[in-house]
Amino acid sequence: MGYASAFLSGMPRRHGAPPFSRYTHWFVRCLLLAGLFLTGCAGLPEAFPPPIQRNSPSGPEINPVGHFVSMNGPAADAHIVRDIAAGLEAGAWRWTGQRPELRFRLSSVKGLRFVMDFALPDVTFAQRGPVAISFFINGHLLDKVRYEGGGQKHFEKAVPSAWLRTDADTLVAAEIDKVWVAPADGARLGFILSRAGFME
Amino acid sequence: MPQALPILLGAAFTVAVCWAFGQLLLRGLSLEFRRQEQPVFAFLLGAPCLSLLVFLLAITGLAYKGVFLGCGLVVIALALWQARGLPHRESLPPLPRLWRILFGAVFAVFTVLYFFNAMAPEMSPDGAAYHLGLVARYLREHGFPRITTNIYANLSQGVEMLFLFAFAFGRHSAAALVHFAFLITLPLAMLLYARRFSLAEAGVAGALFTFVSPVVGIDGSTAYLDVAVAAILFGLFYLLQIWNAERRPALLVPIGILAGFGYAVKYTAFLAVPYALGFVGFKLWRARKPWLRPLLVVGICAAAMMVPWMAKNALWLDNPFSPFFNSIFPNPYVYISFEKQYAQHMRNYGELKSVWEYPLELTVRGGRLCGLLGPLFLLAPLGLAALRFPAGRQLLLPAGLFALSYLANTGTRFLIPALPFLSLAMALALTAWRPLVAVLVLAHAVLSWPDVLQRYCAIYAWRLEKIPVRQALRLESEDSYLTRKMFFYPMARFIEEQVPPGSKVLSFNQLPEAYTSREILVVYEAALNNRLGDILHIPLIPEFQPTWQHSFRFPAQPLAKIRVVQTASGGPDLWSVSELRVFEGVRELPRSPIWRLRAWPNPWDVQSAFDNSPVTRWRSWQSLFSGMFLEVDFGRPTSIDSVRLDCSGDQYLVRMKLDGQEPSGTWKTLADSPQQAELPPPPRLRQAAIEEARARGIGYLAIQDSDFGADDFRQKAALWGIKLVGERRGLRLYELNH
Repeated sequence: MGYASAFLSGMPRRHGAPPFSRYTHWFVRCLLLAGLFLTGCAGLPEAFPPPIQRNSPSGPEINPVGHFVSMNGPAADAHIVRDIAAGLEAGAWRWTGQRPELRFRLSSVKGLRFVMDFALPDVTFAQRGPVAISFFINGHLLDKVRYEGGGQKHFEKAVPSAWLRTDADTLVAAEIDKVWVAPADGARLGFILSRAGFME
Repeated sequence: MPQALPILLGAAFTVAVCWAFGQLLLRGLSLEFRRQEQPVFAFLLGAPCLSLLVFLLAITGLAYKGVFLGCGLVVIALALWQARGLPHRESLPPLPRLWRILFGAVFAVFTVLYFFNAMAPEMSPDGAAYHLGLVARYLREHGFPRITTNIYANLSQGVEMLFLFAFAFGRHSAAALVHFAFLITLPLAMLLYARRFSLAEAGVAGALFTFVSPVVGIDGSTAYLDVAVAAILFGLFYLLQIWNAERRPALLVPIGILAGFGYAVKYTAFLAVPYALGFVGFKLWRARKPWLRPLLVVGICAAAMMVPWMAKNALWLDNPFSPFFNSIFPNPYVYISFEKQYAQHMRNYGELKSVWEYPLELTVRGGRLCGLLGPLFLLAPLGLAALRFPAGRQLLLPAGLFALSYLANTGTRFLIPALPFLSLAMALALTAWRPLVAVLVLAHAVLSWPDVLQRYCAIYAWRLEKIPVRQALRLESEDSYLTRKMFFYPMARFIEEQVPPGSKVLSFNQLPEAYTSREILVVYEAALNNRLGDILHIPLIPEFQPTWQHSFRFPAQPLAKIRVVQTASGGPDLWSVSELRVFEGVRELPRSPIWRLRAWPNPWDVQSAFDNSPVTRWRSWQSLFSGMFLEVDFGRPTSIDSVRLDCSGDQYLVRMKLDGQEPSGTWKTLADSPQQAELPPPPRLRQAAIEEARARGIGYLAIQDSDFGADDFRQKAALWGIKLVGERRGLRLYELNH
């Protein structure tokens, strides 16, 4: 214990201690230098300039209309053509009317699928029963789907590239065959829309 | 058959140079051992010397076959010249006749098995992937290139330096035969130790317990390292025992060399250094002898072996202990989160559910822990009975100490360094019943023979299967044998044919890089590779895509800097930001060249959050802690009123605030929390990902059918912008379109 403490602290050695403790200062300095060498290897870069900018479609868009829209996104209003409520509900979705319509701007037309996430509230089925929704792309009927029950729904289907164009807006409509009349205010409502658009 | 000759010559030349180096060292130190011990210690001590020489040649770009040949011949000539007229050395006490026959018979039979396997074309997973993959690259480039994309190149490679020497003459199998030389040296050293310290019968049994153990056999007859580590550690123990008995100061030099060489061969053997220092220090302290100078001798000799590897890593990778300790030595080459996951995986890669599964898995089954020790080692607890002997206590201390590394990696082979000590302790505990010991030796040998072994071990246990004489002698071509036996070998050769020199291949799997000269980046083997894997996964995983927008809004004001600060801590999430944009009104400020970007942690990737690419992102690569930040220094006061972050959804626990620095230098909080909105997934992510991969030098992708997203790559190759070059055994090679 005496050796160890003298060794570490560099204190003068006790009477009768072995002569090697004269190396203590030197040895401790070596240890410290070695420690500094090792820890000093971890130099951290200070800062970097901005890199080369990629020409990515995710960059700032002059035209806010894109290939996909979320109802709570900043560009939602720019995509809405008609029959979708102006107010955002629960920070995530909006009510539609019977035939909501959206516009999209596409940069390519090959291999795209139309995708829509929406909901049919259970409470509406008591009044109007099962419903069918027809999906139109630039006026072409893409599909007509019958929904027997409420809940979250996901529609997804490939779109023929001939229906699409890159030099003009693509218009998408989703028409529900029966509206739900809200008991409180008599509003004629279709379904709850969260997001829609085109994906690869 | 003529093809076998360079293999044998390459291995024999390497072993001879090791021996010659050892002879020179021992003569230089005026150290003499008993007649039988001399060649064993000469080999064990010459190996670190040759390893260090090859390291120095490689670091100076002189790793040429001709240089190796010249150096080797000079060393051998010097050793032979120095050996002239040496007096006849004293012999060790002879073995009892029956024990000599037992040892000779079992040793000879298993040596034949191991020799032909070592000489057969090398097909071990790690040997063909990186031990020899890197060696082949060093030889091609005549030294160490600075490799930052393969963590295995960061490990200490003491034995690989010997492999490199042998590889230059006899290619892959010559390297494996060098490891085989350690395999046969180990039981001989154990036996000699036992003879010197009057434990002959225990020595025979202990040496054979280790030698015929199935995992020792296959490890030692491939280009692995574990048996070499065991031989080095046992050599160290043996020298310490001799030093303890004789107290010759000159012995402290080889003791230090072997202790340091343990670390130079494998990080986990670093325990040899505290063991040697502790042993010497304790014995001197107890005898009230001066201890500092002896410890310095041991320490300096050990450091001579260790420091080159630390210095190489410190200079090239900013971390002397890379790929570990990255939180102490942060660097851009290995991420902290990767190290953590890797360590967790290694601690339980067999995924055993209970510690009670280990004994059978380690000794009898061997399928989930990659190899088995043999059923004999179910009796391992009997070794504790050796505690009643002084020699037993000496053996059990290193057995326990070197077994500690098993806690870091639960593969069976990680017990090999402790096995010689345990084997001798077991044999010592049973020496009162010598016939029983002999029966155990024979039973262990029979149960470890490949034909018997296959009857009880797991079907996929890592083990030797037969004596491949035709393959070892190259009566069957190496190409034919490896095509039959090695799953990814055809793809390695396909890559060699199809990929032009200089092109890089990104792979989701480890490939036998020893059989191609093309550079392969495996997605988990370094930070850059991790980022490339992330880039390719972003189009495939919606949660990785930048669809979660965080907006900080505040009154317009001039600011010198802004800093987005993480306020959450704990949890497994990694914080990431795909893009950070700054606005004044509706106008996004263009990213000016005078801006300076900072991040903590992982400052090196900060530009990924400012490159306008949806498939790159700055990631912390470290679990959340409060105080992580991204910072923009505008270079001059700039009026702004909002900051927007596009983030991925795979980070549920993140919480952020925005701080700003006024022109006066005062920091203040601009917004405590952001408004959040959902963004559409960006288009053309696949194409963008491939463009980013290409920008990082990748020319090809190797994707196995079972890899995540393999179907997408195959079915939507045109959308990705890749072209199928060919397929081998479910592994597809794609070329990135230009």
